[in-house]
Amino acid sequence: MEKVVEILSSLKSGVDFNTAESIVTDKVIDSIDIASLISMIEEEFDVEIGMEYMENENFDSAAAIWEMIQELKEE
Amino acid sequence: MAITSVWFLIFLFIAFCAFYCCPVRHRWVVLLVSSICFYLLAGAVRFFPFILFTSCVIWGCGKKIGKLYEEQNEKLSDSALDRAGKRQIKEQYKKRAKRILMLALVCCVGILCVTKFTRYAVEYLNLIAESVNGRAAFSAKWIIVPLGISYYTFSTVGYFLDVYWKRYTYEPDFLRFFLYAIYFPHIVQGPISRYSLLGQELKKELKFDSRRIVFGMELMLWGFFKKLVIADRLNIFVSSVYDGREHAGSIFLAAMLFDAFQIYTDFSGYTDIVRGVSQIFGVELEQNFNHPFFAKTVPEYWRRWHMTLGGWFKDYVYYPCTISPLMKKINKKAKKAFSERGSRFVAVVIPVFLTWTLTGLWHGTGKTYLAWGIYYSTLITVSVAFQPEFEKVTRFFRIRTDTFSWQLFRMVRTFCCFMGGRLLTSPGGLGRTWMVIRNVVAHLRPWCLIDGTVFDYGLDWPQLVLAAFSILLLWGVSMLQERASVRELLEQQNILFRGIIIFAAVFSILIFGIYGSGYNAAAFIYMQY
Amino acid sequence: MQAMNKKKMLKGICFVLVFVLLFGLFTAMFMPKWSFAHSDETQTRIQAFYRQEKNSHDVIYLGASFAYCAISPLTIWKEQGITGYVFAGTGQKAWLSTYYLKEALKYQTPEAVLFEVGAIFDEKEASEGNNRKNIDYMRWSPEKLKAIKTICDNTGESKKEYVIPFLRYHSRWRELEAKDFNLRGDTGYYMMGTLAWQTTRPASKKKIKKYEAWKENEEKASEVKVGDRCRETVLEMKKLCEERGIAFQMVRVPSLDWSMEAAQAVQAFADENGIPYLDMNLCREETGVDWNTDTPDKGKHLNILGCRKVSSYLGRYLKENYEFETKLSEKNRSFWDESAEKFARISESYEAKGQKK
Repeated sequence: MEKVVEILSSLKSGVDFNTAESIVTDKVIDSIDIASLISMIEEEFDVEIGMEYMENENFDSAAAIWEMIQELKEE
Repeated sequence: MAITSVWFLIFLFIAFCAFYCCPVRHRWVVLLVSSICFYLLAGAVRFFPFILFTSCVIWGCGKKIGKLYEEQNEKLSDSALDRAGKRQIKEQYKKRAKRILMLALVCCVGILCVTKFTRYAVEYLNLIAESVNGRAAFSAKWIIVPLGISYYTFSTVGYFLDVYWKRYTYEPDFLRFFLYAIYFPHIVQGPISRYSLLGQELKKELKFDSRRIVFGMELMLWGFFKKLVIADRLNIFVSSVYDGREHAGSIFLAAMLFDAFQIYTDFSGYTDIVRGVSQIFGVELEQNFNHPFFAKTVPEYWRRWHMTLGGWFKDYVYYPCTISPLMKKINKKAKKAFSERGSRFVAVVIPVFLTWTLTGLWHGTGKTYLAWGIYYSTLITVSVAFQPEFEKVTRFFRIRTDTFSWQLFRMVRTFCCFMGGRLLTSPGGLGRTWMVIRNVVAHLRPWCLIDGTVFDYGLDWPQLVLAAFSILLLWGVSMLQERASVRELLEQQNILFRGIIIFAAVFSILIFGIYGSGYNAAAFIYMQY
Repeated sequence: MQAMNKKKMLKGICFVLVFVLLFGLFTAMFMPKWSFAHSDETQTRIQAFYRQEKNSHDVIYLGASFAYCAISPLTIWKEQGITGYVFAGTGQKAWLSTYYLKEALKYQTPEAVLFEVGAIFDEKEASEGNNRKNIDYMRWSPEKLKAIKTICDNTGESKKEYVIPFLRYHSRWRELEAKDFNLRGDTGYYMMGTLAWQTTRPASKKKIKKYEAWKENEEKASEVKVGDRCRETVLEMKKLCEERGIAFQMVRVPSLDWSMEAAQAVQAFADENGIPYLDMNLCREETGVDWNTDTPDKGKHLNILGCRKVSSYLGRYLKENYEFETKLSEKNRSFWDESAEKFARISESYEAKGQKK
């Protein structure tokens, strides 16, 4: 999960993504950040994020993102 | 039947009585019947088949896909299958689903495009015909633009895509779905709803709650104030200045300023009215505006202005584009060809340009709206891509970014960007936009603002003072709304105070509203979309 | 739960009541006040009519501005003891006069109705301003609604703006003046419908000459004819009067805005339909109107001096041709006497002022 936090921090400085919650719902990162985030995650973890995963809940914290990645890896 | 007409209020009253006289379980049926009546009265009978057709197609295809996925899940739960087998089944069903997707999109988005583009195409073809033959060849009479087509197409297609992308289960009941599509508060000018939200709202137990009804009426009151007192008043000035003739640059600047407030109060006023109406029936509609003029950056502005449209484009165009296979291919190539920053730029700019160009075209066809789309794409891309440069500049000038003055500057800057966008579409053609710019730059004549010329555009001294005062009031209330719910605050006050405020509001609208033979009420701007 | 609901219902009802009250108040405030010293006293004339003692008037005079400028029931009372009211309006078209007749007959039982025919050749509706002046202050009745419908169907004005005047006048917020806050109107008015016009602007010599050169037109039917709409409505007036045993006749007061052809056309119409017609333009010596001193607008209307002369003549005419049984209460009788004296004094002092020059 540290890698996820690292990626997030590279997009937005000044936020502790280890503990931050609701980062999408509270607009901590915006839609453009999310677009970059997705491509970085896909490359780093070798997964493919489909449209069915494009929900706020899956991206609202580093932990949520990590969980989604695990799910994707299982497929 | 315009929403600011006496007829609408009568309709509303009848619907209200019918709704609350009906037992709770069947109240949604009253809404459905009222919505159909509204559509026939406010639109026309000949428009009705279109919305019915789109709804049937979307609902039918949604059901088909939903059933398809259920089938797929059943097959996949068979434990005898291995990984490869599962993948094969998934591929199969994906193909079938895709075919249904194509059918639905071609039908519904196709109709939308045809109604939007045909008028433009006919005009264009007539221009050609005129230059060849000396007269127009095609009549635009047969072009039908069903009421609310842009809005209901987006609401229904959004639902369909959610089902296709497995984010939502399909709605088995057609009438429930049709109610969602034709629901009268949101059919004419939005807000563009999501089935996950509005669909659920419409399934709730719609109980009588006097507090909620009063809140709804108060919201309607505020909406009527914005529309009838501010927007329609400013419109007199703006439409007079933007009549195609040349005026002093300073007058054009005044018109640009008024135009910004006019479109905001017109559209947000309308949204408040319909949200208030819906609230009276117990159904929450999404917010469409969140004080956009308090935004500090252009991307933030688009999260506060016409929020449901921005949200729709984000979820159904921007994200799908970003994670589409084509985009991923491009990204890979960009990563190899450019630096990290460069490839990130590519990853942003293409979806942004696509999304914003389409947003522009949703508003209208023609060069002006294309230009508008490109304008905002550029602004947003620049705002994102050159972030490090901007930070360098502020550091260089030792600007303290935590001060109020800096925030104020950012708000003003964003407001100016918005005015720039309006300048492309408001005067009525790029030629006129150029004329405005030319006059502002070369013939500013600032004394025109104080020598009385400003009274030549339909608003005399008392009217202008009233306009200015009402904008100030708007600003004050907006500031309050950012911090608390005004209606709740009002509720907590003494009844006399609350009564005075409400009567003041009602009679300001009745006295200062622009309606009646004294004026001609301006049509809502966003209705032809 | 019940108590809560009752309280809420009560609040709701209070709200609606306060709203209706305020709405009425604002409507009264925003309606333009057409009272004396502003224009034609149309509002005052109408409001005063409704305050009249029931069945106290012997004659009802109908018509347009010609009527209320030239006829003074007070003078006729003083000289002949006949009461009356000039229930006319600015620029009033014939069909509105019929509506005024219907309204008048609800409150009065005159022996005679005189319709001043200055507007008898106007087939088209009046301007919005005149329509408003004639309609706005009338009491609500099915006839008023019918009159509104007729006007709006013809002019395209908005019916709901007549029925709810606030919708039309709310934009007057910029023009509100002190007199708009006087909601009661002019309760001291006593002139029984007359407009005592105290201005003199002599007619041009050319016009007077033309007037004096009136000749009987012996040619066949001239172009001037009473139109269908006016014909129909005047016959309706006649019928209304006949049904109640009221004498109905037409009258034309002296005016340079008239012609021999017009007089003959109306006479022909009158003869055709058995309506007595008195055209005072054809009895000039008897009326004695002097177009140098008796007109405020160069010959179209009559001022207070012309009014006195015409009323005297008319009074004599009425005495000769009709029988009146005047029923007045004692209080009203002395009111009439006082008012007639006041009017006489005003006209005398105006005459004196003129002669001083």
